[in-house]
Amino acid sequence: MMYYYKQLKKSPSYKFSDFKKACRKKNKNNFFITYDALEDADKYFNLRTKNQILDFIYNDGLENKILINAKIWDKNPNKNKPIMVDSYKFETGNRKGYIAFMYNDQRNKWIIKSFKLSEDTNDQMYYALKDAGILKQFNIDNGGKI
Amino acid sequence: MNKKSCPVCGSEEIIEKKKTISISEPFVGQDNIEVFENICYSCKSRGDFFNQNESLLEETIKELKQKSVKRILEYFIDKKISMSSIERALEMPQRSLTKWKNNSSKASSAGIALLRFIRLFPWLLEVAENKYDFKMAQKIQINDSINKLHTQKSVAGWIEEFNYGPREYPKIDAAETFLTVDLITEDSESTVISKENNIEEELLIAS
Repeated sequence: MMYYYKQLKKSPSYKFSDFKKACRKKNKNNFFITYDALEDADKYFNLRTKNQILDFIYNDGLENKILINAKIWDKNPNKNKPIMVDSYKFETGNRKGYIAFMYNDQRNKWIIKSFKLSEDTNDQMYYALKDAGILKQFNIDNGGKI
Repeated sequence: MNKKSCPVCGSEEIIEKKKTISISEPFVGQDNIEVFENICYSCKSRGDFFNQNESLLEETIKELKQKSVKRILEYFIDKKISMSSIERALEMPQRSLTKWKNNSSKASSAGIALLRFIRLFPWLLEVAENKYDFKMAQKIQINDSINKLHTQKSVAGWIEEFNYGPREYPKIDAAETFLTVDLITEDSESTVISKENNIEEELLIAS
Protein backbone atom coordinates (compact mmCIF):
# COMPACT_ATOMS: atom_id res chain seq x y z
CA MET A 1 0.00 0.00 0.00
CA MET A 2 1.27 3.37 -0.95
CA TYR A 3 1.45 6.17 1.59
CA TYR A 4 1.61 9.65 0.16
CA TYR A 5 1.88 11.67 3.36
CA LYS A 6 2.66 11.15 7.00
CA GLN A 7 1.18 14.31 8.48
CA LEU A 8 -2.24 15.94 8.57
CA LYS A 9 -2.92 16.72 4.93
CA LYS A 10 -5.66 17.78 2.63
CA SER A 11 -4.60 15.02 0.24
CA PRO A 12 -5.60 11.40 0.67
CA SER A 13 -3.18 8.84 2.09
CA TYR A 14 -4.81 6.04 0.10
CA LYS A 15 -6.31 5.92 -3.37
CA PHE A 16 -10.04 5.73 -2.89
CA SER A 17 -10.25 3.31 -5.81
CA ASP A 18 -7.99 0.90 -3.87
CA PHE A 19 -10.33 1.13 -0.91
CA LYS A 20 -13.36 0.60 -3.13
CA LYS A 21 -11.83 -2.37 -4.88
CA ALA A 22 -11.02 -3.91 -1.53
CA CYS A 23 -14.73 -3.85 -0.67
CA ARG A 24 -15.39 -6.69 -3.10
CA LYS A 25 -17.10 -9.68 -1.50
CA LYS A 26 -14.11 -11.94 -1.95
CA ASN A 27 -11.96 -9.50 0.05
CA LYS A 28 -14.34 -9.12 2.95
CA ASN A 29 -12.01 -10.96 5.33
CA ASN A 30 -9.49 -8.16 4.79
CA PHE A 31 -11.89 -5.73 6.37
CA PHE A 32 -12.63 -4.86 9.93
CA ILE A 33 -15.47 -2.53 10.86
CA THR A 34 -15.58 -1.23 14.42
CA TYR A 35 -18.74 -1.68 16.45
CA ASP A 36 -19.24 2.09 16.59
CA ALA A 37 -19.18 2.28 12.79
CA LEU A 38 -21.49 -0.73 12.48
CA GLU A 39 -23.98 0.71 14.95
CA ASP A 40 -24.01 4.12 13.26
CA ALA A 41 -24.32 2.61 9.78
CA ASP A 42 -27.37 0.69 10.96
CA LYS A 43 -28.85 3.65 12.83
CA TYR A 44 -28.41 6.29 10.14
CA PHE A 45 -28.13 4.43 6.84
CA ASN A 46 -30.04 1.16 7.30
CA LEU A 47 -26.87 -0.79 6.60
CA ARG A 48 -27.03 -3.56 9.15
CA THR A 49 -24.23 -5.96 8.40
CA LYS A 50 -20.61 -5.81 7.30
CA ASN A 51 -21.59 -7.28 3.93
CA GLN A 52 -24.21 -4.60 3.38
CA ILE A 53 -21.74 -1.81 4.17
CA LEU A 54 -19.04 -3.23 1.88
CA ASP A 55 -21.54 -3.83 -0.96
CA PHE A 56 -22.78 -0.28 -0.56
CA ILE A 57 -19.28 1.17 -0.86
CA TYR A 58 -18.28 -1.13 -3.72
CA ASN A 59 -21.36 -0.13 -5.70
CA ASP A 60 -20.55 3.59 -5.50
CA GLY A 61 -22.94 4.30 -2.66
CA LEU A 62 -20.73 7.09 -1.35
CA GLU A 63 -21.80 9.89 -3.70
CA ASN A 64 -20.18 13.30 -4.06
CA LYS A 65 -17.49 12.38 -1.59
CA ILE A 66 -15.08 15.06 -0.47
CA LEU A 67 -11.88 14.44 1.44
CA ILE A 68 -11.97 16.13 4.82
CA ASN A 69 -8.44 15.28 5.89
CA ALA A 70 -5.84 12.59 6.26
CA LYS A 71 -4.23 12.32 9.65
CA ILE A 72 -2.18 9.97 11.77
CA TRP A 73 -4.15 7.44 13.77
CA ASP A 74 -3.62 8.74 17.29
CA LYS A 75 -4.50 5.52 19.13
CA ASN A 76 -1.87 3.49 17.36
CA PRO A 77 0.11 1.68 20.07
CA ASN A 78 3.06 1.27 17.71
CA LYS A 79 4.20 4.87 17.31
CA ASN A 80 7.16 3.85 15.14
CA LYS A 81 4.84 2.69 12.38
CA PRO A 82 2.30 5.45 11.91
CA ILE A 83 -0.98 4.61 10.20
CA MET A 84 -2.88 7.29 8.34
CA VAL A 85 -6.64 7.72 8.58
CA ASP A 86 -8.51 9.24 5.64
CA SER A 87 -11.87 10.81 6.32
CA TYR A 88 -14.42 11.81 3.74
CA LYS A 89 -17.84 13.31 3.79
CA PHE A 90 -20.34 11.93 1.31
CA GLU A 91 -23.97 12.03 0.30
CA THR A 92 -26.48 9.28 -0.16
CA GLY A 93 -30.08 10.12 -0.91
CA ASN A 94 -30.86 13.15 1.20
CA ARG A 95 -28.39 12.20 3.92
CA LYS A 96 -24.91 13.46 4.40
CA GLY A 97 -22.44 11.05 5.89
CA TYR A 98 -18.90 10.78 7.16
CA ILE A 99 -16.54 7.86 6.75
CA ALA A 100 -13.08 7.37 8.18
CA PHE A 101 -10.90 4.44 7.21
CA MET A 102 -7.30 3.30 7.38
CA TYR A 103 -5.08 0.48 6.19
CA ASN A 104 -2.76 -1.57 8.32
CA ASP A 105 -0.21 -2.96 5.88
CA GLN A 106 1.38 -5.22 8.47
CA ARG A 107 -1.91 -7.00 9.03
CA ASN A 108 -3.12 -6.47 5.43
CA LYS A 109 -6.40 -5.12 6.81
CA TRP A 110 -8.61 -2.22 5.91
CA ILE A 111 -10.33 -0.75 8.95
CA ILE A 112 -13.48 1.34 8.82
CA LYS A 113 -13.27 3.43 11.96
CA SER A 114 -16.32 5.56 11.50
CA PHE A 115 -19.46 5.58 9.36
CA LYS A 116 -21.88 8.16 10.63
CA LEU A 117 -23.85 11.27 9.79
CA SER A 118 -21.75 14.23 8.75
CA GLU A 119 -21.44 16.98 11.35
CA ASP A 120 -22.71 19.59 8.88
CA THR A 121 -25.72 17.45 8.07
CA ASN A 122 -28.10 20.10 9.29
CA ASP A 123 -27.06 22.75 6.78
CA GLN A 124 -30.60 22.86 5.33
CA MET A 125 -31.72 24.41 8.59
CA TYR A 126 -28.64 26.65 8.55
CA TYR A 127 -29.47 28.02 5.08
CA ALA A 128 -33.13 28.48 6.00
CA LEU A 129 -32.14 30.53 9.06
CA LYS A 130 -29.55 32.42 7.02
CA ASP A 131 -32.06 33.29 4.29
CA ALA A 132 -34.50 34.49 6.91
CA GLY A 133 -31.82 36.84 8.25
CA ILE A 134 -32.02 35.32 11.73
CA LEU A 135 -28.33 34.38 11.93
CA LYS A 136 -27.24 37.91 11.04
CA GLN A 137 -29.73 39.49 13.42
CA PHE A 138 -28.44 37.51 16.38
CA ASN A 139 -24.82 37.41 15.16
CA ILE A 140 -24.62 33.61 15.35
CA ASP A 141 -23.45 32.78 11.83
CA ASN A 142 -20.81 30.06 12.28
CA GLY A 143 -20.85 28.78 8.70
CA GLY A 144 -23.18 25.89 9.39
CA LYS A 145 -20.90 24.00 11.82
CA ILE A 146 -22.54 22.31 14.76
CA MET B 1 -0.17 -22.23 17.34
CA ASN B 2 -2.26 -19.38 16.02
CA LYS B 3 -2.71 -16.74 18.69
CA LYS B 4 -5.68 -14.44 18.37
CA SER B 5 -4.77 -10.84 17.76
CA CYS B 6 -6.38 -7.48 17.13
CA PRO B 7 -7.02 -6.91 13.40
CA VAL B 8 -6.36 -3.20 13.84
CA CYS B 9 -3.06 -3.00 15.70
CA GLY B 10 -1.97 -6.64 15.93
CA SER B 11 -1.84 -6.69 19.72
CA GLU B 12 -2.61 -9.97 21.46
CA GLU B 13 -4.03 -8.21 24.50
CA ILE B 14 -7.62 -8.76 23.57
CA ILE B 15 -10.65 -9.98 25.43
CA GLU B 16 -13.73 -11.65 24.13
CA LYS B 17 -17.13 -11.32 25.72
CA LYS B 18 -20.72 -11.87 24.78
CA LYS B 19 -23.32 -9.21 24.65
CA THR B 20 -26.99 -9.13 23.78
CA ILE B 21 -28.18 -6.89 21.00
CA SER B 22 -31.68 -6.37 19.74
CA ILE B 23 -32.58 -6.42 16.08
CA SER B 24 -35.85 -4.89 15.06
CA GLU B 25 -37.93 -5.06 11.93
CA PRO B 26 -41.00 -3.00 11.12
CA PHE B 27 -44.35 -4.63 11.96
CA VAL B 28 -42.84 -7.54 13.84
CA GLY B 29 -41.02 -6.06 16.82
CA GLN B 30 -37.55 -7.10 17.83
CA ASP B 31 -35.46 -10.14 18.52
CA ASN B 32 -32.57 -10.36 20.97
CA ILE B 33 -29.45 -12.24 19.99
CA GLU B 34 -26.16 -12.90 21.70
CA VAL B 35 -23.10 -11.77 19.78
CA PHE B 36 -19.37 -11.80 20.38
CA GLU B 37 -17.61 -8.58 21.21
CA ASN B 38 -13.85 -8.30 21.17
CA ILE B 39 -11.98 -5.44 22.78
CA CYS B 40 -8.32 -4.62 22.30
CA TYR B 41 -6.54 -3.23 25.36
CA SER B 42 -3.81 -1.61 23.27
CA CYS B 43 -5.76 0.41 20.71
CA LYS B 44 -9.19 0.32 22.40
CA SER B 45 -10.82 -1.03 19.24
CA ARG B 46 -14.14 -2.73 19.77
CA GLY B 47 -15.82 -5.11 17.36
CA ASP B 48 -16.23 -8.57 15.95
CA PHE B 49 -12.56 -9.34 15.31
CA PHE B 50 -13.02 -12.80 13.84
CA ASN B 51 -16.25 -12.48 11.82
CA GLN B 52 -18.22 -14.64 14.22
CA ASN B 53 -21.44 -12.62 14.21
CA GLU B 54 -22.07 -11.93 10.54
CA SER B 55 -23.92 -15.13 9.66
CA LEU B 56 -26.02 -15.05 12.84
CA LEU B 57 -26.98 -11.43 12.15
CA GLU B 58 -27.93 -12.13 8.55
CA GLU B 59 -29.96 -15.19 9.53
CA THR B 60 -31.85 -13.29 12.25
CA ILE B 61 -32.65 -10.39 9.92
CA LYS B 62 -33.89 -12.82 7.27
CA GLU B 63 -36.13 -14.63 9.77
CA LEU B 64 -37.55 -11.36 11.11
CA LYS B 65 -38.28 -10.20 7.57
CA GLN B 66 -40.22 -13.38 6.83
CA LYS B 67 -42.11 -12.96 10.11
CA SER B 68 -42.94 -9.37 9.21
CA VAL B 69 -44.32 -10.50 5.82
CA LYS B 70 -46.56 -12.98 7.62
CA ARG B 71 -47.74 -10.34 10.10
CA ILE B 72 -48.53 -7.83 7.36
CA LEU B 73 -50.57 -10.37 5.41
CA GLU B 74 -52.40 -11.43 8.58
CA TYR B 75 -53.22 -7.77 9.17
CA PHE B 76 -54.85 -7.52 5.75
CA ILE B 77 -56.84 -10.70 6.36
CA ASP B 78 -58.04 -9.24 9.70
CA LYS B 79 -59.09 -6.08 7.86
CA LYS B 80 -61.05 -8.22 5.40
CA ILE B 81 -58.78 -7.34 2.50
CA SER B 82 -58.25 -10.56 0.62
CA MET B 83 -54.86 -11.52 -0.72
CA SER B 84 -56.31 -12.19 -4.16
CA SER B 85 -57.63 -8.61 -4.31
CA ILE B 86 -54.19 -7.26 -3.40
CA GLU B 87 -52.57 -9.47 -6.04
CA ARG B 88 -55.13 -8.28 -8.60
CA ALA B 89 -54.66 -4.59 -7.73
CA LEU B 90 -50.88 -4.82 -7.82
CA GLU B 91 -50.88 -7.08 -10.88
CA MET B 92 -48.94 -9.74 -9.07
CA PRO B 93 -49.10 -13.42 -10.01
CA GLN B 94 -52.04 -15.05 -8.23
CA ARG B 95 -51.26 -16.95 -5.02
CA SER B 96 -47.83 -15.37 -4.65
CA LEU B 97 -48.90 -13.70 -1.38
CA THR B 98 -50.26 -17.00 -0.06
CA LYS B 99 -46.95 -18.61 -0.87
CA TRP B 100 -45.12 -15.84 0.99
CA LYS B 101 -47.42 -16.26 3.95
CA ASN B 102 -47.01 -20.03 4.08
CA ASN B 103 -43.24 -19.78 3.61
CA SER B 104 -43.43 -21.97 0.52
CA SER B 105 -41.58 -19.23 -1.34
CA LYS B 106 -39.64 -16.30 0.06
CA ALA B 107 -40.53 -12.69 -0.62
CA SER B 108 -37.86 -10.68 -2.39
CA SER B 109 -36.54 -7.44 -0.86
CA ALA B 110 -38.65 -5.48 -3.35
CA GLY B 111 -41.70 -7.53 -2.39
CA ILE B 112 -41.12 -6.89 1.30
CA ALA B 113 -40.73 -3.15 0.68
CA LEU B 114 -43.98 -3.12 -1.33
CA LEU B 115 -45.85 -4.94 1.43
CA ARG B 116 -44.55 -2.47 4.01
CA PHE B 117 -45.75 0.47 1.94
CA ILE B 118 -49.23 -0.92 1.48
CA ARG B 119 -49.39 -1.83 5.17
CA LEU B 120 -48.46 1.76 6.07
CA PHE B 121 -50.64 3.35 3.38
CA PRO B 122 -53.42 0.91 2.45
CA TRP B 123 -54.89 3.56 0.15
CA LEU B 124 -52.02 2.78 -2.23
CA LEU B 125 -54.04 -0.30 -3.20
CA GLU B 126 -56.84 1.96 -4.32
CA VAL B 127 -54.31 4.02 -6.29
CA ALA B 128 -53.12 0.84 -8.00
CA GLU B 129 -56.71 -0.17 -8.75
CA ASN B 130 -57.18 3.17 -10.49
CA LYS B 131 -54.21 2.41 -12.71
CA TYR B 132 -51.93 4.89 -10.94
CA ASP B 133 -53.82 7.87 -12.35
CA PHE B 134 -52.17 10.93 -10.83
CA LYS B 135 -55.32 12.97 -10.20
CA MET B 136 -57.16 10.01 -8.71
CA ALA B 137 -54.13 9.22 -6.59
CA GLN B 138 -54.13 12.75 -5.21
CA LYS B 139 -57.83 12.54 -4.42
CA ILE B 140 -57.46 9.21 -2.68
CA GLN B 141 -54.54 10.47 -0.62
CA ILE B 142 -56.30 13.68 0.38
CA ASN B 143 -59.48 11.79 1.22
CA ASP B 144 -57.50 9.48 3.46
CA SER B 145 -55.75 12.40 5.18
CA ILE B 146 -59.06 14.19 5.77
CA ASN B 147 -60.59 11.06 7.26
CA LYS B 148 -57.56 10.66 9.52
CA LEU B 149 -57.70 14.30 10.63
CA HIS B 150 -61.36 13.89 11.32
CA THR B 151 -61.02 10.74 13.41
CA GLN B 152 -57.89 11.78 15.30
CA LYS B 153 -58.18 14.52 17.87
CA SER B 154 -55.63 17.29 17.61
CA VAL B 155 -53.44 18.31 20.54
CA ALA B 156 -55.56 21.45 20.92
CA GLY B 157 -58.60 19.19 21.06
CA TRP B 158 -57.07 17.15 23.86
CA ILE B 159 -56.31 20.33 25.85
CA GLU B 160 -59.82 21.64 25.29
CA GLU B 161 -61.29 18.35 26.37
CA PHE B 162 -59.08 18.33 29.45
CA ASN B 163 -60.28 21.82 30.41
CA TYR B 164 -63.91 21.71 29.38
CA GLY B 165 -64.82 18.04 29.14
CA PRO B 166 -65.55 15.89 26.08
CA ARG B 167 -66.94 17.56 23.04
CA GLU B 168 -68.72 16.34 19.92
CA TYR B 169 -66.72 16.72 16.74
CA PRO B 170 -68.73 17.76 13.66
CA LYS B 171 -68.72 15.17 10.91
CA ILE B 172 -67.01 16.21 7.70
CA ASP B 173 -68.25 14.81 4.44
CA ALA B 174 -65.13 13.83 2.57
CA ALA B 175 -67.02 14.02 -0.74
CA GLU B 176 -67.85 17.68 -0.07
CA THR B 177 -64.24 18.42 0.72
CA PHE B 178 -63.32 16.80 -2.57
CA LEU B 179 -65.38 19.39 -4.40
CA THR B 180 -63.26 22.11 -2.83
CA VAL B 181 -60.09 20.22 -3.67
CA ASP B 182 -61.25 19.86 -7.25
CA LEU B 183 -61.80 23.61 -7.45
CA ILE B 184 -58.31 24.31 -6.25
CA THR B 185 -56.48 21.70 -8.29
CA GLU B 186 -58.40 21.91 -11.54
CA ASP B 187 -59.01 25.65 -11.79
CA SER B 188 -56.40 27.94 -13.17
CA GLU B 189 -54.80 30.50 -10.88
CA SER B 190 -56.81 33.38 -12.38
CA THR B 191 -60.17 31.68 -11.79
CA VAL B 192 -59.22 30.97 -8.21
CA ILE B 193 -58.34 34.65 -7.75
CA SER B 194 -61.64 35.73 -9.37
CA LYS B 195 -63.50 33.38 -7.03
CA GLU B 196 -61.70 34.91 -4.05
CA ASN B 197 -62.74 38.38 -5.28
CA ASN B 198 -66.34 37.22 -5.59
CA ILE B 199 -66.27 35.95 -2.03
CA GLU B 200 -64.85 39.29 -0.86
CA GLU B 201 -67.63 41.15 -2.72
CA GLU B 202 -70.25 38.89 -1.18
CA LEU B 203 -68.80 39.53 2.27
CA LEU B 204 -68.91 43.31 1.65
CA ILE B 205 -72.56 43.11 0.58
CA ALA B 206 -73.39 40.98 3.61
CA SER B 207 -71.75 43.48 5.97
